[in-house]
Amino acid sequence: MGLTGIQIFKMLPKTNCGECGVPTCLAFAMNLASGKAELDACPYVSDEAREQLAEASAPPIRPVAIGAGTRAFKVGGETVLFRHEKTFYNPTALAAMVPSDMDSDALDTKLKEWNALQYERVGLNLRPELVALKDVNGDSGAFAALAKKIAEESEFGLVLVSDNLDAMKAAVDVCAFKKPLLYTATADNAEDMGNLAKEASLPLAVKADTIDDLIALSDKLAGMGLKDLVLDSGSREIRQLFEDQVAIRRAALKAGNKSLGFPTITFPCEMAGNLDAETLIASLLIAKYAGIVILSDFKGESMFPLLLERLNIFTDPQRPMTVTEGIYEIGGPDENSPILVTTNFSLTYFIVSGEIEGSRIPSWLLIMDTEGLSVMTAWAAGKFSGDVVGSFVKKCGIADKVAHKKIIIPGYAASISGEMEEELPDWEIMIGPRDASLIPKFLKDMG
Amino acid sequence: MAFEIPGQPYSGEIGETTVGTGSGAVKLGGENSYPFHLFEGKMPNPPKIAMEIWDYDPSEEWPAAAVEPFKDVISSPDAWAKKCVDEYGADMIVLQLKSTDPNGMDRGAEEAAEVAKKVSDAVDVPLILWGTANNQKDEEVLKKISELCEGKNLSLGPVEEGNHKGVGASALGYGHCIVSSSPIDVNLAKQLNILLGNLGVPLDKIIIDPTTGGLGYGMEYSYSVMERIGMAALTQEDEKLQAPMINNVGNEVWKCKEAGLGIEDAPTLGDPEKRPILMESVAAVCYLMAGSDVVILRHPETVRMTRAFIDLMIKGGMASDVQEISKRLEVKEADLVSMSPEPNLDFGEPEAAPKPKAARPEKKEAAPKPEKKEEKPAPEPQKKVEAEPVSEIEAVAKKLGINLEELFKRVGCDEEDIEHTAKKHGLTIEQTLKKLGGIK
Repeated sequence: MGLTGIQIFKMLPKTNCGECGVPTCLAFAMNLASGKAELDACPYVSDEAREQLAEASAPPIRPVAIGAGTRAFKVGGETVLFRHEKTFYNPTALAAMVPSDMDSDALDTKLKEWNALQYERVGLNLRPELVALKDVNGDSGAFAALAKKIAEESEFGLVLVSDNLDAMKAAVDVCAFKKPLLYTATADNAEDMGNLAKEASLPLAVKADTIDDLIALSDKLAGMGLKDLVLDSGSREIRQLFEDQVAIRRAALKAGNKSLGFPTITFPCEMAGNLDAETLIASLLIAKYAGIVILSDFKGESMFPLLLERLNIFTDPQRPMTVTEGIYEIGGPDENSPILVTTNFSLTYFIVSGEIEGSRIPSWLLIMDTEGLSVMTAWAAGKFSGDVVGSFVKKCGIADKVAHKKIIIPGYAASISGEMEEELPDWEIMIGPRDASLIPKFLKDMG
Repeated sequence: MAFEIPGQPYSGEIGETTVGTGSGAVKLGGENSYPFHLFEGKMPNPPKIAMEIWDYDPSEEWPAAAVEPFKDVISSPDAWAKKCVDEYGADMIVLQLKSTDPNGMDRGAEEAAEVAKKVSDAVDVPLILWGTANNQKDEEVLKKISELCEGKNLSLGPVEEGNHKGVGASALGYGHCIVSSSPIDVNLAKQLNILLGNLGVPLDKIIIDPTTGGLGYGMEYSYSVMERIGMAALTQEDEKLQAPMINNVGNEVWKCKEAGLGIEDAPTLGDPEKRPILMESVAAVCYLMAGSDVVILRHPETVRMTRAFIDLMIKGGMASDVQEISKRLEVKEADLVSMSPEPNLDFGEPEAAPKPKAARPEKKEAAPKPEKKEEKPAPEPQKKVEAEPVSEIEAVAKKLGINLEELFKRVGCDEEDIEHTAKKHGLTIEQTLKKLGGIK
C-alpha cells in the first residue's frame, strides 16, 4: 500500500479503454488505491508497471473466494477496523461441522434440513454458506465419499478438515470443482499441503499456535507461490481468540503486515460444549473480524439471530437500506381496508408494517421511494411533500383495489395534508400518529 | 523479531459512575481502552447485567418463553425484582414504567412512584427507572419517584433535552443519577451531557443511553454510534462523552415479531423458546463489543449466558462449562426436510451465482413459511433478487447466468458504466457482459 491513486494512474496505459470495467484509467487507479479493484482487471498494463504496482495495489487483506454456484462467496478484502470508518465488505461465512464417519443417510437429512434455513429480508436471502467435513479416523475413502456427496448434492461450499495428505488428496479429486477450502497446513505438513493446494488451485488454511509461527508459515507458503490463504491462530479460548482477531486485522491494516493480510477461520465448535454457547462466541466473531466461523450444527434458533447480526454488521453504513416502492398487503386486506402511506427507509417499513401486523387489522401499506430517508428527514428534504405523495398515490394504482378514498399519512408529515388534498381532491387525508407504536390504536379507533 | 500487536494510542478514559448506595452500590465504567481490549488496557469494572421488570403484569403481551421464568411473581413488581436478584443474579434492576404511558394505561405519577418505592425497598442492588420516552409524563413521574426515594441514588431515565432541566434538577436535589438519552447521534449525546453539566449534573452522575436498536431492526446504527462515542471518549479526549453507556436490549429484542412466533408459524426459525433467548444473547454480545457498560436483559437464561461470556472475556478460559439453555417449555420439532427447497446444483460458473429465487421452486405448499410474509417487500438494494429483470443489462445478465451485483462489486462499476463501455467500443451489452464476466 502507500501509493495514491494519482501515483498509480501514472503507471497505467491511460487509454481509458474501459475493459477493466470502469470507464477511465483514473477511476481504475482510484479503485486500486482504495483496494476495491485488482490489477489483473487491466489487460494492457506493462510488465514493469505490473511489478511495481502489484505490491502497492494488493488489498491489505486478501479477498479469498470459496465455493461454487449459488452459495459461492468471498471472505477477507476488509479495509477498516470499525464499520463506520467505511464499511465491512465480505460477510463472515458460517459453517457447520460434519464428522467423516457420519452415516450417508444421516448426512442427507442434515443437508436437507440445513437447506431449509433460508430467510428473506430486505430483498436478500440470508443463509449459511459452508459445511466443514472433518476426517475423524483417517479413512480416506469415507472422507472422499462424503466430500463428494456434499459437493454434488448440496449448494454448500466445503471446508475439508484433515491433516492426512492421502485423505485430502482423495477428497480434492472428487470435489475440487466446488472450490473447497483445505484445512489445514501446519509446520509439519506445510510443504505437502501447499503443493496440493497449489496444483489444484484451491485456497488453503494455515494453522499455528502463536502469531509468530503463523507468520512464519504464511511466509513459507507465500514463498511457494500460494496466494489464497486463510489463517487460524490456534487459540480455542474466547479471550485469546478475540485478541488474535484484533491483532491480525490491525497488523494487516495498520502495519502493512503482508504475512497476516488474509481472512481468518475460527472454530466455536471446538470452544464450547453446545450450540447455544457457540452461538454467543460466533456473535463475537462476526462483529470482530472472523472470516469463517465453524459451528457444530445449524439450527434455526441459532442461525437466524446470527444471520440477522451479520446483516446488521455488514450493512454499508454509507447507504441506507431501502425497500422497493409499491403497494404492500398486510394481513390480506380487501376493498374496505385502510390505506397507509410512508417512506421506503427499511427501518420505517419494518416498524410500520410490524405495528400494522400487530394490530391484526388487514391494511394496505403504500411505500413511496424517498431514497431511503425516514419520514421526518424525507419531509424536511422535500421528498415527502404533498404533491409528490399525492401523485404517487394516484399513480400507484391503489384506487383500483379499494372502494373508499381515505388515506392515512404519518403524523410527522401532518403539514402536507393540504397540498395532498389539492392533488387528490376527492380523497380524505387522515393524519395518523407520530409514533408507529400508536398505529394499532389508531386503526382500531377508526374501525 | 517477535510479533507485537500494533498499538492503539489512547488519550482518555471512561469516567466512573456509581449507582445505588451502601453495600449495594455498583461502579460502572472506568475502562481505558476499547471494549475488552485487555491486552492494551483495563476494564476495572466489568460490564454489568441489569434485569428488566415491568410495573404491570405483561403476561398477555409477552411471548410465553419470557413469561415462564417469572409466572409466580409477574404481577408483583417487588417480588419479581427480588426473584431476579436472588435467583437469577441480576447486578441491577430496571423498572420499566410502562403503565405510565399516556397513550396506554396512563397511570398517574403518585401511583407509579409507590410501585417504584416498593421495588427499591425490596432489593439491595441499584435500581434504574425507565420511563416511556414521553418527555412531559416522564418528567412528572421521575420527579415524583426522585422525591419519594430520596438518597437512594437511583438512575432516572430516559432523560432527553426536552425534560433534562426538570429531571436533572430533581436528581441533583434528591441524590440520583441520570440516564442521558439521545437518538443515535454522537453530537446529540454530547450536547445533552453539556446541557446537564450546565445544570450542575456532574459526569459521574450520568449514564449515556445512545438508544438501542433491536437485532435485525437497526442494531447497526446504535452499534456504530457507540463505537464512535467510545472513540471520541478514549482517543479524542471528548470529555463530555467519557461516561458509561447503557443499552435497553431485552425490551427491543423481545418486542420484535420474530421473538414471538410459534413453531407452526415459523418452523425454519427454530425452537420458539431458545430463539428469542439467543436473539437477546447475540444482541447483548454485540452491544458489549460496541462498548456497553450495562446491558438490560429480560430472560434469566440470557443473563446466565451473557454473564458467562463477560467472565470468559475478562478472565480467559474455555467455554466448555457453559451449559446449554435450560428449557421450560415443550416444543415439537419442525419437519425441516419436508420444507427444504430443491438445491440449485448448477456449479458451472464459480463467479456467476444464479438468482436465489430461481432456486426455490414447488415445495411451497409443504408447510407454511410465514416469515415469507415479510419478504413481500422484495426490497431494493439488490436489484438482482427482483423476479423480473427491468433493464436490458439485467435481462442479458440473467440469460448469461451472471450475478450482476457480484460483477459490479468485483470490477467497481455500475449499469451506466457498462452501457458506456458498450457504446464506446461498439459492442452489444451481451458482448460487454461476457467480457467482464469472463465468459467465452
